[in-house]
Amino acid sequence: MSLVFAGHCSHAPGITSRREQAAPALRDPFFAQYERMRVALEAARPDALLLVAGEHFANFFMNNMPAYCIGMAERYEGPIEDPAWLRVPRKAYPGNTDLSRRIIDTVMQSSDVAYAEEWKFDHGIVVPLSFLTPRADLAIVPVNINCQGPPLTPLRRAYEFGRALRRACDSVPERVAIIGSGGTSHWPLHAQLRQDQ
Amino acid sequence: MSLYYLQKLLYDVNRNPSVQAAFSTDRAALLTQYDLTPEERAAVITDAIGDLYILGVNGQILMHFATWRGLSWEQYIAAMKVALARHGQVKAGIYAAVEGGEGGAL
Repeated sequence: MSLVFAGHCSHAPGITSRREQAAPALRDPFFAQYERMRVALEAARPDALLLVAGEHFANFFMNNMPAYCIGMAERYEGPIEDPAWLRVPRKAYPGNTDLSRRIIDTVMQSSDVAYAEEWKFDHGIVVPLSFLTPRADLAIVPVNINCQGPPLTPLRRAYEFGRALRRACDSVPERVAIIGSGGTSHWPLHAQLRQDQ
Repeated sequence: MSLYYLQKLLYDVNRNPSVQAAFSTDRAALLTQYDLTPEERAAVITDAIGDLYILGVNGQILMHFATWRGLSWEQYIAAMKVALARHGQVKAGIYAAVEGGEGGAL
């Protein structure tokens, strides 16, 4: 098969942990878009979801920091943060070791990537999943990019990594969805960004 | 500057309940296992979250440590702003402040 769904969303922890502090006129349409994405994702009938997120020191530290890592476990658990703080309950999420292995094999042909058979999900993954797979019934293949512990991967290599993920999705018979999550709305009116514009 | 070990300590505390127990039982003894400067050690001993920010602890580590130490989000933000007003800017790491903290962080 091939890629059957591609999307992107924010994963900032305040989305769930401080949701009441946002103005309803801004918050409600935002949550409605998550729901719209959930419906579209389910309509694509994926067998698995590749979720690309940034490393937040949940699994790796600067003693051995992979630029890229893909999970290869049969199951995952999260959030690693205090569930009462994040307001997302801690639970198990299904993985697919065999699918992960085949995707990693293909990505490895063109990109150096680490793999992990142990992986704790943090807010970068569970905040999106709390909206997109609230029943935790879709196999997840977590993908991690180091974005916090310099030296960081150059953007052109991140682009090539994305192309490698696409080739990997196209090489497997399963119906695969891919979603990127990141700080797309952490600081949309950030002073430095205003200057750069 | 031993920012690596300062962050390693807080990373270990954030992830490991046994390290949390050691921190709660005898913080000074736990800190001997990490190569910290006197300034870093004092910041941890006194729960000076704002000083830890100034010393360069990554926000993805510090926000969870601050929560574990009992700070609300508002208290966490306030601690960083107070420290910024006192010290001017973050000394290391990637979370330099913009506009004294009013413009977020880079």
